[in-house]
Amino acid sequence: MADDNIFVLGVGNTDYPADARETRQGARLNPYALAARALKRALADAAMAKAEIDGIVVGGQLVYERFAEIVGNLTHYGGVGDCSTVIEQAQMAVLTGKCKNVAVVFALCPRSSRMRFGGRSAAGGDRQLPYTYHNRVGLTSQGALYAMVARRHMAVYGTTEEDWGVFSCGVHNNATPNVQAHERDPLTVDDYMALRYIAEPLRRPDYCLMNDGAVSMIFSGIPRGPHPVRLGYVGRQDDLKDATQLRSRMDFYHENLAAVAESFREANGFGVGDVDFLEVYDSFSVHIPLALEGLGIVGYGEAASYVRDKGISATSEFPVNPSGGHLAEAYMQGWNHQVDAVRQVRGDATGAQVPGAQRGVYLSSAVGRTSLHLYERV
Amino acid sequence: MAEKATGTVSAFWSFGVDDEPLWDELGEERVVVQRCKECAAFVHPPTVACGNCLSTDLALAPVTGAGEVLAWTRMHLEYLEEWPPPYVVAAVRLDEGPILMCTVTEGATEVGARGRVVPHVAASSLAVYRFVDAGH
Repeated sequence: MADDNIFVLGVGNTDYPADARETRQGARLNPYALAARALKRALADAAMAKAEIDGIVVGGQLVYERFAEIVGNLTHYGGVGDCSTVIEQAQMAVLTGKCKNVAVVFALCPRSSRMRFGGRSAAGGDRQLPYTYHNRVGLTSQGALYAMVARRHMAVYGTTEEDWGVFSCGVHNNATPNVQAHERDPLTVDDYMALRYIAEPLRRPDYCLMNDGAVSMIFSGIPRGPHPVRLGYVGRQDDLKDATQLRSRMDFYHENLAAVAESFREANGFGVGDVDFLEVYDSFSVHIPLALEGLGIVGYGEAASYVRDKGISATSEFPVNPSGGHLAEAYMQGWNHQVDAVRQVRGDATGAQVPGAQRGVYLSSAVGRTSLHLYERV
Repeated sequence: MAEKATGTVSAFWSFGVDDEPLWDELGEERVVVQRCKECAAFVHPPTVACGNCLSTDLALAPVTGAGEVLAWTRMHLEYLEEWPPPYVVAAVRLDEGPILMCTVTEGATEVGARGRVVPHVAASSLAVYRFVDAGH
C-alpha cells in the first residue's frame, strides 16, 4: 500500500481543561478562535509555515468558506466532514495531486453554544437522522439507543451491569496521567455502581463528556518535518439499511466490523489485533466491547471477561483508548483519538504512553458507518 | 393531538408527510407498517421509496403485531415534559421483520419476551406503538 500513503506531519489541539475552566466561569468560546489556535499548534508541531497549506477540510461547527477566509490561504481543495470523511478527503486531495499539504481542523463548542444531545432541542433533531426519529416514544438521545444495545448484549452474552463499569472505568482510569484530560480522577467499579442510571443500564461514566475545544492535523504526501507518521490504511464499511430500526445495532455492528477487519487484513498482511493499541470512538462505553468483539480481538461476548482479566491500560496486552477517549479525555468527536494515535506512535503521548508503540488503529463505528485508520511509525 | 395542524404534525414528533399517515392509523386503532406495493417489502419508518426495489408506490398495510423484544431501556431522566421518568421503551421485532420502537404495558419486559404490538395513545396524546408482553 506504499503508493497510497500520506503522512501526518503535525497535530495540535486546544488545552481542553483550560477551555473547560473558561466555560465554567461563563465564557462563551468561539469555535473559530479555538480552531485557529489548534491549527497554529499543528503547524508548529509540523515545523511548517501557514503559507504551505493548500487544502483545508473542516469539521464540527466550522464552515469551510468562513474558516478558509480567516486562514487566508489560497487553496486547491476545501471541504467539510466528520473525523472520518475529513481524513478521506485529505487523502484523496493529496493522492490525486490536488494539494501538497492539507490541514484538517475541527472545533466544537457545545458548552458555549448551549448545544443539547437529548431532549426537545437535541442537535440534529430537525433532520431525519437514524437517531432522532424516536422522540415520539421519549427517546431523544444516542445514549438511549446505546442503552438498548447494552441491554441486548447483556441478554445475548451474559454481560452484567458491573461489566459496563469495567469498560468505563478502564477508559476513565487511562486518563489519570493525561494532563489534557477532563476527568483524571480514578474510578472504581464500586464508585460506578453507586451512581444512578441515565438510560438503564447505562450510568454517567458510560456517556461521553461534553466540552468545548478544537483539534487540527496536517497531512502531506511527503514524510517531512521532525516527526512524520504514516497514515497506512483508511478503511470504510457502511451499512445504513434499516438504521433507524436499529437493525445493525441489534446485531452489535458485527457485519460491518468483520468486513472492515477483513479488508484491513487483506490490505496490510496483518490483523487489527496485531497492532500495538486501539483507539475507539467511545461516545458510549458500549463501543469498547463492540470494537473488541466485532474486530475479532476477542470472541463474541468475551470482551468483559477479557478486560476484567487483562485490562485496557497503556501497558496492558492490548491498550484501548490510552488517553481516556471521549469518556474522560475530551469529546472531540473522534479527532482527539486520532491525535493521540499519532502521538503514541511518535512516543510523545500527553498521557500514558504505550511502550514502544509502532502502529495503532483508530475505529469509528456508530449508527451504521464504520471507519478504520492505521497510524504507523515511519 | 395538541401539536397537530392540518396536513402536518410538529416536526419534533413526526417527519410530516412521510409518517403522519402512520400515526393517524395508529390513532384509529389500526396496527400498520408501510409496505411496498410492487415487491411487498416492509419499509419502516415510512418514507418515499422502497429500499428493496426503489418503487415509490408504498402504502400502509396491516400487520399481525406478533413479535419479540430485542432490547429495552428504562429512562431515568426527564428529557421531555410529555415523558416524565421513569418509562420503558422496547425495540420489538415483528414476526414480519420490521423492528418497532414501542412503549410497554406495565412498564416492564424482558429481552426475548413474546407479545403483541398494539396501537396506543400515550398520555401525551400522541399515537404510538405499544408492546403487550404476553408474560405480564
